[in-house]
Amino acid sequence: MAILFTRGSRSRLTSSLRASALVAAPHIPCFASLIHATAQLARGLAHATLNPSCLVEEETVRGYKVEHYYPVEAGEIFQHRYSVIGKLGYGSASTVWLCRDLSKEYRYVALKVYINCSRVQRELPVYNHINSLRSKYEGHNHIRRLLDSFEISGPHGNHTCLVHQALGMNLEELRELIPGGMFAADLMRQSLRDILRGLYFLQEDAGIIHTGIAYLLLRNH
Amino acid sequence: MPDVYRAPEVALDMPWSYPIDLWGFAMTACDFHPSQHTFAC
Repeated sequence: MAILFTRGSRSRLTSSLRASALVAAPHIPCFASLIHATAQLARGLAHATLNPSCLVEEETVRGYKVEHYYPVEAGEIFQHRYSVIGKLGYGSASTVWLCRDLSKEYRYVALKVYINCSRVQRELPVYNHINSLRSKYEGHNHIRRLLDSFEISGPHGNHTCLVHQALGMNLEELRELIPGGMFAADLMRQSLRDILRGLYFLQEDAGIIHTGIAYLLLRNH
Repeated sequence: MPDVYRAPEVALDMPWSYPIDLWGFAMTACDFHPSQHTFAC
């Protein structure tokens, strides 16, 4: 499971999420550099320069090495079908991109590109196992689906890629939009019920321990 | 998992299994309420 990089172990959940989502924000000169680069792009410049000492997103993960990550670009097409639109997020071992599936009526998918030195690919066997059980049990509807997987070769090694259904915002993001941060009781009940159904499927039918359930309110795949 | 969300058996380095997911689920349910972490230090 992706590990969120947070600064300060005692921050409240929401503020630590904001810190990791807007990594540059706490460091004012870095933030200004991002704003400047965005303004350059808005004025129609093809390339905008970013201050290289300004660490952005996966660069802030401990042990980051640029050669480990595949350099995905917007507009790039994978497997002759997944056309990259933009970046959704990142983890300690991957970057995640929003794509269109050109062979399936341009539906949106999320493409997760792992680093080329992943020690053990744990997610893929689990997803394959879940997919082999799909049709028999109801709870699988509440587990995000793996749609495809493949390997690509990058400049410094091979990268495993997973394709998931693209999802909307998570509950934490929704909470930030609600005044007072309180969910309606119905939403809470339904959400908890759906989570439990998915969890029941994992435990009873698939024999899988999730180990990262507390991350359910957190972002990114 | 961040320390504050870990099931006791994981934090205490004891054998763990399916029940840790129920602990995580309970932590998620508690987090719906916008206050401190349930087990904040």
